[in-house]
Amino acid sequence: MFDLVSQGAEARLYAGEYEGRPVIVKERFRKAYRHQDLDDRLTKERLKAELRGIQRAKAIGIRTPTVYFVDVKKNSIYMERVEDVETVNTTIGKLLQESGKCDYSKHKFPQLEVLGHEVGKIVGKLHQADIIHGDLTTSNILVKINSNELILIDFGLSHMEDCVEDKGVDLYVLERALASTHSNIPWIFEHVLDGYKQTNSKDGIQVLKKLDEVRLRGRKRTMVG
Amino acid sequence: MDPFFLNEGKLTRALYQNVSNAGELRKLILTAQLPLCLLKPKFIVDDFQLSVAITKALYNQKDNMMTTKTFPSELIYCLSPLRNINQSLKIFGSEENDTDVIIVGDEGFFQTIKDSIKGDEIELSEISKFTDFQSVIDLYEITHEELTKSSLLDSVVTRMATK
Repeated sequence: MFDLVSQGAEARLYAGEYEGRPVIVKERFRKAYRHQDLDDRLTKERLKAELRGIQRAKAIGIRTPTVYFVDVKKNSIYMERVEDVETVNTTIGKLLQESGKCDYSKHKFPQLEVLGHEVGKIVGKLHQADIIHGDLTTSNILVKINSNELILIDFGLSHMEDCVEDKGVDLYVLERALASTHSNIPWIFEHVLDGYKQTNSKDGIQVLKKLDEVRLRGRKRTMVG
Repeated sequence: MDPFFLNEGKLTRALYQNVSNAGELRKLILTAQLPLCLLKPKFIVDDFQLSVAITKALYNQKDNMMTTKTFPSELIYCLSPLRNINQSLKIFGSEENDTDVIIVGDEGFFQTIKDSIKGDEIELSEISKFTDFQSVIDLYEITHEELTKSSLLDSVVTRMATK
């Protein structure tokens, strides 16, 4: 029995079991408003990008769900359902609530500092390998409950790119995501950047410089063409 | 939602050690064109790896989407990280002098050759006794870095599923 867990803009998620293992099925569905040929092509591209992204991230030592089966006709990915996890979004929310404080200043939340640092490290690792996630939001980073172990998901918009611009934009998307969902702790992103610098020894410094430029532009655009 | 594999037929899988007639079994299967796959346990880390390959091979077979010509060769192709069919068959397929073999296939056909197998059947859970871990790592090109965050089985299976 596979139960519908959630429905997003692009895909439905089902939970079930495969050979005794907990599984999540991500089924990308058709968008009726798109021309069918274009829709098929886009959906297939996203599917391929997701599989490639998961595989490449895994290959460099980033925890991603193990893929068990791909139903190409139904654009569905059957993958490991990691148990005892929550999104980083949820974790941050919980840590802030627990404290019951009204004071959200720096240094009052050491756990958040560490979490931010860990998030930065994982993104740095990704970028060092020239993998752009493409949709770095706090809902696409999972945390094993009561630990700092992170699992990266949702690689549908990922691609390989060694230019600093795309990496800067990748980080900017994350910055905006954090700012919009947790505007009361603006300092957290500094810790993300600290972690990032630590693991992206390839072009971390240039990316951070580029990030300043991207911030000034204000939108996630590469301004090409 | 109806996942594909809930409807698939159950295939038999068996592991044998101390086999003295691997070559004979091979010939028998090939000549009679039996839908049985005879493989080396060397590159198999766990029974689950077989499951993943079986699911994929059955899926491909279902709508004539197989890359190879028969189900047994398709199974091997699904196990293999390579895109070359012949190489895959050479690497995974049982050879004349092998003393351990895995057989996968339809239960009925398996029964027809079961008595001809000169060897001792053991539990599938013992598969890892015969695994050559370094060969698996080399074949699937798994790096040390990858293994810091992923088990060997997870790395192998992800490659198989996403080929």
